[in-house]
Amino acid sequence: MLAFAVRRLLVSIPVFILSTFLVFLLVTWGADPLAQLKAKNPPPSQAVIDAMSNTLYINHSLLERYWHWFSQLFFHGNWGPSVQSGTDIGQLLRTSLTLTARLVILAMILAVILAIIAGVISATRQYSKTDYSITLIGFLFLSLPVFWFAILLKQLVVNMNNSLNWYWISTYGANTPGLTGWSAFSDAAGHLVLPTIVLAMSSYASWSRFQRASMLDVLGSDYMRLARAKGLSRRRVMVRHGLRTALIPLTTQVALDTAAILGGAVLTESVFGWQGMGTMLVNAINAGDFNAVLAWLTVAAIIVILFNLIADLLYGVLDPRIRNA
Amino acid sequence: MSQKERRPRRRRRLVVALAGITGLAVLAACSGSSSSGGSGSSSTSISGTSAADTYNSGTPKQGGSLTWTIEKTMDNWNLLSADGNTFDYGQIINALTPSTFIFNPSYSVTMNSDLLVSATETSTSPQTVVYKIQPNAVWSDGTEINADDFVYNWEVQNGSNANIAAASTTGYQNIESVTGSDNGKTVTTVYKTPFSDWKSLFTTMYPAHIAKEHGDNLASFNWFQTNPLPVSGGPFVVSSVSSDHTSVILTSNPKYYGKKPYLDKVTFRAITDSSQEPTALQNKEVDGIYPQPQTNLVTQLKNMGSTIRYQIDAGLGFEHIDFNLKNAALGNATWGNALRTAMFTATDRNAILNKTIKQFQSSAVPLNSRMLVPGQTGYQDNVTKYGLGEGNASSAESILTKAGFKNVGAGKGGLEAPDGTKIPTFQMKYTVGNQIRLDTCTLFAAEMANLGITVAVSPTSNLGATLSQSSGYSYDIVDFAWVNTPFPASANQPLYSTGGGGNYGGYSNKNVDAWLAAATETSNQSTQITNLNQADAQISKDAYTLPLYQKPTLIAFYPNLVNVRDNVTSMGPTYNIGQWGMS
Repeated sequence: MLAFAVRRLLVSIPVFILSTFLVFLLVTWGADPLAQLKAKNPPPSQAVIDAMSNTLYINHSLLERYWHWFSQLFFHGNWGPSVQSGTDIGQLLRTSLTLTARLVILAMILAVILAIIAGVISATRQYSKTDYSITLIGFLFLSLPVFWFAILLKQLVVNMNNSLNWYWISTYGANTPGLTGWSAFSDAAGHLVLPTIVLAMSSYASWSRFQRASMLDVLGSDYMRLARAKGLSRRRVMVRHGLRTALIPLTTQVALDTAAILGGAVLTESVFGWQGMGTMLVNAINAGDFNAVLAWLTVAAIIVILFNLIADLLYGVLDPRIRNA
Repeated sequence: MSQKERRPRRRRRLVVALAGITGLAVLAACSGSSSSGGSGSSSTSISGTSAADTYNSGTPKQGGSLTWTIEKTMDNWNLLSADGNTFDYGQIINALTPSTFIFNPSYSVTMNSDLLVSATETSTSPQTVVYKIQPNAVWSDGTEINADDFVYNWEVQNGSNANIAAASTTGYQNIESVTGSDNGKTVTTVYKTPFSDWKSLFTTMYPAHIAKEHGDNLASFNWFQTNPLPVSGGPFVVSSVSSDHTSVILTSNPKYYGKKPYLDKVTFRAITDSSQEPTALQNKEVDGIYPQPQTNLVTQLKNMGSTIRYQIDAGLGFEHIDFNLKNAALGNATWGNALRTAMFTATDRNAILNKTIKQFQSSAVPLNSRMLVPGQTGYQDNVTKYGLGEGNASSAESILTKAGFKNVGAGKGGLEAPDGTKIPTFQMKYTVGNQIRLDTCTLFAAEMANLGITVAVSPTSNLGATLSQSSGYSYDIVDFAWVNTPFPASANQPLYSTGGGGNYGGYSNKNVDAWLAAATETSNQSTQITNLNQADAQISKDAYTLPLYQKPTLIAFYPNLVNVRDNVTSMGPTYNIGQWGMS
């Protein structure tokens, strides 16, 4: 198993380096990092523009620039200077990642729990009104544009808050500034409600369909019939024998979908004003801040590679044929 | 009731409940009051009038706190730096730095009597200005505000150190010396070249004694960019800044030398997507917003009825269409002027307004000056006087025909210059995602098609790069905006002078250069205005740019806020933040 893990990890390294180089090319060709500075009114002097060019190391050849960036990052832990004033990219990355992790982890937990419940109920009551209803809801969330759903939900909550004159659920940002203790915790929870629901629902929709299909496969298998024939209780058959087996495909699916959820967080964070990874990327692209874009994409690449690795390892754990291949 | 009988009802309930929730969400989201603006709300501009200075004025109660919206995260604290010179940052810095003069909503510029006893131009040759500082004016740590602060702020902005990335050196580079006397409470500035807009200087001052603690001028200038001001010379002090820079909390400055601020605490929250601002206001997450108005934003605010108050004003910024004279046809020395004049003569600005900002500001009118806006002394029509911007297609055709152009008009195979050159397709640029500018460009292109001129409209995701043409020639015609200030001479000189920093289209006229230089140097206001209007008229004759309309501004807040009002100058609504309060 260890050799398998090491082998997969070694394969990931050149994939990672290649991905950073491709990303570097795309980002450096995509935007002029001095554009915002040049567009200032009154326009800054040429000396100011030249000084910024030197700081950003953009007067060198593409390969020199890539090596400079790569070596600074991996030998000195330096993400490079930002064109966004007063921004330390490493610090920004840490803050953004912490916020996004909070949102993504909660959303994933919610989506997994809902998907399992909905998938199991749907499968055990196949072709019933409940199954059709859950299927309808699943397809509804699958087809709803995230942006539209988020705006709709926000307006719904605003109207509800105004009617109740109780403003616990917030529509913008990750917290209200200046609070401490229990108030701060409660406030942060109120800020989490809407983005978590929005982010969770899109994943829930596909995962519940996945869980339903997986559960139906298991329910029709011989060992389930045997378990029932042995006289085990319905609950024991369902939970210990059925659900446990049916969760295996979902587990690997969730691992693989993590990167997609991170991508989905870009839109959700934008609508709800979370200064997480999504907002960091959008701001960096708008500012032509190539070092910040590179930092974001590097972290995203690591996450994708890591979770693909985890998925591969899980396959290995679950299926010895892959492990020994 | 047996279990078998109950189950189908549960299922029905579930289906009905799910359908109900979905329907409710849609209905609730689509519902809302359809009443028009709330009491006190208006889309008729009052900026530049005396009414603008007293709008929503009153005596608030002492104490309380409010949350105000900015549209950028607070990433730079040095408003004097090229990077940090941003309107939103200024909204916070206004509360922390002393200013010699205040730019009022009526465009009047008044001395800050909290800080100064007097500010007098004592000599015109050499130009000398003497500031007398109030004896009790101190920074929040008790250090006196004195001549050292003036010297430091002059030194970092006079361009003498090329490594200091100052936002502007205008005016400061004209100063020969800044000296203190009377224990530093009198400051004398002597100019080597006259600068008429001297009241625009020393309006955001950073503390010299804090600068000294952080190295030389360059080091301290950069330090101020990344660190919140540890002391304040304004009515509030920085209490805390969130780690992601999305919020800044200010509290009342106990050592403030002027009138004690009414509010105990002001929180600034960054909402970077303006379309989310009305929702945050409605959900009471913020008490006031100041977004760029758009039709859907104004509609949202109208739907909130009398629960909020909003005001739309005509700003100091203005939209305009510019030609790039580096284009061989537009910049042709023989017939380029006739071509440009005909194009602007055929442009119907009223049609543009009807299609764009009149959707939410019915009182909007075309702007007829590049140098001044209505409400500023000396504003006069320098545009329609020369036939520009009125959509007169027959007059435009006549100009072209008289100049010897051929194939004038639509469907004649395309316009030909007098020398037989076929007029090429012009590339017109606007900022990507800006619907108002897209509509403007589309209308302009349609009007040009009637003259036989093809204009291809396309967006730019990077207006700065397009204008500065950093990667080569990048536009023929462009629609964008300039922000004017209460100091029109110094603001406009770089935009139209030969080789000026903002003169992207390569315009050059020796007379205009001379008039703009004279306007910047004279201390006589009427001479300044005469020079500005002469330059403006000449630019119309040369048909280099066409001003369209003043960019509207929008302020919205809860009616219990007192003394909160729009200020379309660069100082913005927080120019009087010490007077803000609750009723």
